[in-house]
Amino acid sequence: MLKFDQVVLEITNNCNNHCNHCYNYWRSSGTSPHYEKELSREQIFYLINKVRKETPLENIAITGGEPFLRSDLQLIIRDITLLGIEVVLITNGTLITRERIKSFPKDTVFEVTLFSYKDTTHNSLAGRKCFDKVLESFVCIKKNKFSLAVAIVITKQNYADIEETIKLAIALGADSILLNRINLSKNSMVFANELVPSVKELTYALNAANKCVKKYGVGMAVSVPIPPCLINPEDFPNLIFGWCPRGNREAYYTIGNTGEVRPCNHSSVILGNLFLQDFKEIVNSNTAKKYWKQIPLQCKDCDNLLKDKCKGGCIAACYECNGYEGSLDPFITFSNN
Amino acid sequence: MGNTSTVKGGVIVDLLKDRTLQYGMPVKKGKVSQVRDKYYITVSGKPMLLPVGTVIPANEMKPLVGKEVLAIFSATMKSQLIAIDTVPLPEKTERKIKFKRILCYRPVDRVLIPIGDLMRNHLIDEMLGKKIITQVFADSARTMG
Repeated sequence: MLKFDQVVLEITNNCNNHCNHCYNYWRSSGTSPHYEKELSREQIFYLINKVRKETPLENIAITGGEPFLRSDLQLIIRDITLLGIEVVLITNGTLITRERIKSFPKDTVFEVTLFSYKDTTHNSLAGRKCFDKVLESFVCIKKNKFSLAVAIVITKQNYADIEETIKLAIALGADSILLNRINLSKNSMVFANELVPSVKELTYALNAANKCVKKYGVGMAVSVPIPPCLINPEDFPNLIFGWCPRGNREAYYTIGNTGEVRPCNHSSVILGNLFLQDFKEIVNSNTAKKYWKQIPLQCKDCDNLLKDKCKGGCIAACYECNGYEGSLDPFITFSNN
Repeated sequence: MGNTSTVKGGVIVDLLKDRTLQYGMPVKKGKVSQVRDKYYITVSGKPMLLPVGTVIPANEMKPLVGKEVLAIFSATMKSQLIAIDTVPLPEKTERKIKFKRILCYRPVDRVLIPIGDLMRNHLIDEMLGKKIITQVFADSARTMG
């Protein structure tokens, strides 16, 4: 049996936000080969059961697009939780209503994005006016006794807001904070100069976050990897830093809406299709092995103590932005500019 | 479909009604049979050809021949078989969440930490004072429990 115990499931490509920093690969051209196609509830059940029989599957992160655009979302989650699998639902929070949330299984964890405590900044990054709705969703989630993880994406536009944004999230019920630096994609590369914070700006944001954890005790993870050649994680002892699992047992392979399996939700690389192949065959394929092995040429002589964890940052961003996995993570390039 | 060791006829029969209700999809008892290189599942006396070789590998079906399984049908097209399950579902589904993962790059243990009401109310006051949230919204947030 394989050792992976989590996967990401994309249940729709559609979204009601228009974020310039969106990493969904299909946003770059406005289409994907199967843009309109969605897995049916029955197909999702079939695929999850298939993965479950090959792995000790414990957790599924449901994402999109915006999952709440599907009217059968709560039924899909109910199917999954009945299999004994935990669900983290990643949403922009704009479609959560008091009526709808009552039908979700009680162990569902909601991960909602908040860009800033300032409505103008949040709306600007989301591409539309939705700040009030997001705050209302927090209260709605907590009043119904669900766990709430608030995700904040650090960009050049909101780095200075981080402390107040974290405080607002805690005030409105956040049980944890995910503080992720922007991860570039083909779609967002054209806005890179406006979006990627400099090393100094990134450090400012992380210092603010580190201070908040110390003061309020909230759990905070910096999940998208920040190469240690930019900042030293030891300077922020209260934050939990994450690294790309590079296909190891902590990997989060992503099932897309045609049943295709990709290395992660940031990547457009298709490793195989679960309707046609076993999960084992896909993740053990030469394509997968080759994908995970790539390390940027510039990083091969790195002498940083964390080089074995970093391995060049986000391999998906390298591929999406530069066309091949062995290139330099564009976040390094732009944050140093 | 490879795990057949936990299948017991009695368990399946007991599960059918509950699972049908819980899934919102009809779940029936079925029996797998083989005629030459074709595989069938018989549900309520009616044999149905299984798409072995296309969707389901033959080597996964062979161990199921002669055994009882759960046959799960589409909620909308009720005669459409969508899955066969040989693994009885967990009896206790309302388990306490054992939160280990959020997403992205690293398993995060113990990251869900409840914040005390005192601290939260203090921050609500601060957000209200800075006019980041309105009085009505602050009152609503205070009653979140």
